[in-house]
Amino acid sequence: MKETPLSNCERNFILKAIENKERLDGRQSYDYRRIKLEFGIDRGCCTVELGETIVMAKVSCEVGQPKQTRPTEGFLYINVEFSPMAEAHFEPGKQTEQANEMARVLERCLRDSRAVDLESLCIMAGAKVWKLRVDIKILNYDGNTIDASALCSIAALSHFRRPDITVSGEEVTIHSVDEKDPIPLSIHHLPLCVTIAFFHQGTYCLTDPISREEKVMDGKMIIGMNKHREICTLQMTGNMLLNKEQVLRCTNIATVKIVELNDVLQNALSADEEARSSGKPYGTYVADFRKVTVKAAESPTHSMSEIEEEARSMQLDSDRMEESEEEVVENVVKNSWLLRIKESKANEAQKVKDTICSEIDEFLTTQREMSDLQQQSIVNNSSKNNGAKGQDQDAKTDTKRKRNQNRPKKKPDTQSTAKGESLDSATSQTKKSKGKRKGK
Amino acid sequence: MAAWELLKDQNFRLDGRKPTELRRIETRLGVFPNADGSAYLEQGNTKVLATVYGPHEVKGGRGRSNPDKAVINCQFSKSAFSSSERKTHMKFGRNSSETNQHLVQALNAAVMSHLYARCQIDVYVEIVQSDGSDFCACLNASTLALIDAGIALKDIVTCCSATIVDEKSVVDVNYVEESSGSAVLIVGLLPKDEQIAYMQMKGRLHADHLEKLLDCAVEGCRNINNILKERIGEHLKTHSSHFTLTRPATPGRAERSRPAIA
Repeated sequence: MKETPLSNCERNFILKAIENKERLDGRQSYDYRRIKLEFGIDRGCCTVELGETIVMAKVSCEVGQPKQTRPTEGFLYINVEFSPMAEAHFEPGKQTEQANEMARVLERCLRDSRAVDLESLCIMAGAKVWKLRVDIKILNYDGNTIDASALCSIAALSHFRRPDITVSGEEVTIHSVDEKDPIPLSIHHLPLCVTIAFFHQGTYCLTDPISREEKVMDGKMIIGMNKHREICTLQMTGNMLLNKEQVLRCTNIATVKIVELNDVLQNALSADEEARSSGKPYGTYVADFRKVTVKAAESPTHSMSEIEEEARSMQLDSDRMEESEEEVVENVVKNSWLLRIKESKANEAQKVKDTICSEIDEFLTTQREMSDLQQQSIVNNSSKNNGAKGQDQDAKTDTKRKRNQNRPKKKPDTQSTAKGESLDSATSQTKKSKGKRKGK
Repeated sequence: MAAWELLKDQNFRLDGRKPTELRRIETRLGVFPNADGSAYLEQGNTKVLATVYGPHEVKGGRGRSNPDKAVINCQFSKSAFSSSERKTHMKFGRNSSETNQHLVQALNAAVMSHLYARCQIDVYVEIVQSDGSDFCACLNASTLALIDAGIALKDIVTCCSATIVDEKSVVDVNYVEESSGSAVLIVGLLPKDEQIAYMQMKGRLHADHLEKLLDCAVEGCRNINNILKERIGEHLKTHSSHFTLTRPATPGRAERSRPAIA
């Protein structure tokens, strides 16, 4: 069945409404619809309702062979399916361009921004890795499926637990859930997508367009971002022309919206965790965020300038915090990143300094002991002298061991993540190192 | 993987370029006699062939034709021997179908498609050798091919990539820089009005750095545009016998080769 086109009358009506800053469902230009997150009985299953749009994501994993070029990396594959139940013109089992593009944007957002730590999925280097697969199904279509499925898939990934394994030699045992507690994935940051639709050659823009607005729009800008204001993906689609200012304005809008979406996601995850730990509704838990949107609807007009000011104030806040730490740098707005790196380097230097100091102290004390012992030995007889040397050697090896222990701490990963919120990064790192050792 | 030092202390990149320096661009127009328009483009070690057929009648059912404007159809492919690892790239896979879509998007912005209502324009692009910035080279080559085919364009749409290395934005990214894992921004630009027709970014980048990176990519696009314009001028000078003042401009070469009726 073919998609039913909009009549010219309706098209003009929608455009006219947008010109007057009004929308069909009474929202303001930059408001999101009601968001509802629902987790399934199984781990790694999540349903997101964004107004009338319903998206379901299910994470699954299996053991497979890694690529030869990347022997220690697992896989993350995202599959998007527009089911015919969502809208009549979606054909079953057909890879449409729309689904294809969505899957690619999500892959860039989740995988290429290294949100999911693929190296922690390694079981045996070059032989066995975990292959993650996120299946996204559009259950009902009413526009803005990308934002909904980005939220859905990152929620499902953070909710997912993979089975625990033990490796002995070449043999890998996968434990069932009853045997050993399954392990959460290590996720470094939570990227989410914000879609901004453009109308009238980019003069008017809206977030979270419904399907009728999508039919009228010139094009859209998809921005994937995390709460640290790091852009994870950026994609412009449709037939429209933008200038630089418009692009930067989009990122400002996205900054504000991402904070909202991020709160929704974290609240939903903690609410689900609470429900599960209290044990009463084992299985589905509904996290309803109607209040959030109702509040937004009651608040006076979310005009463009207001949102931009909010973004700017957020920017300034983050800068001010760093300024208090190091006031010398003048242009903090541009150098905030640099500062962060500097700060971490200073910490690093302090750590190194501390370890060196402690080593020197240790060395001095052992020397003192040694000289004491030597004096004793001179006073007494030569047979004890050997024993003292033996002790001294022991002490030396001790310090060496300590130095080796310190070494990995000396070079924390400064580049890869700036103060990543990493849900379980500490545990995951130890797991990673274990995995590698097993691999060798 | 061994980490490369992408920017040496004297501000030189691995291949000896300055951060804002483009790679050498070589172009040839009209490389295939059968096609209506064709071009060959080298951007450093990235080598691309593009051919254009059309405007012609819409193929594959009447339903696809548009009564208001032309339908542009792009077919991107990457040869098996183009990268260091020999592998056959799926012609109808996810990645190439995405690239096709993006090429169509960028070319739609440039082609004056209302002049070719109910017509179809086919653009076939083949990567012969790949060394980073593949999409940019493809788009630049297909623009040249469209020009060679004599299809009316609003502007020469040019494309350029940029990335950040050691806090510095670096233009026209090569393979090593591309695979280093830092954010890569691709911008397709209509240089006359400085309008962005295509934009994509992958990797992770702080929002404060976007403006810097965008400026860098746009500057790269402008420079590429200047080079391409110069090359097109040179080509026209040497092949000016095709372009006499008396003959009206015809859309395709197929018609051009026919004897003109007085």
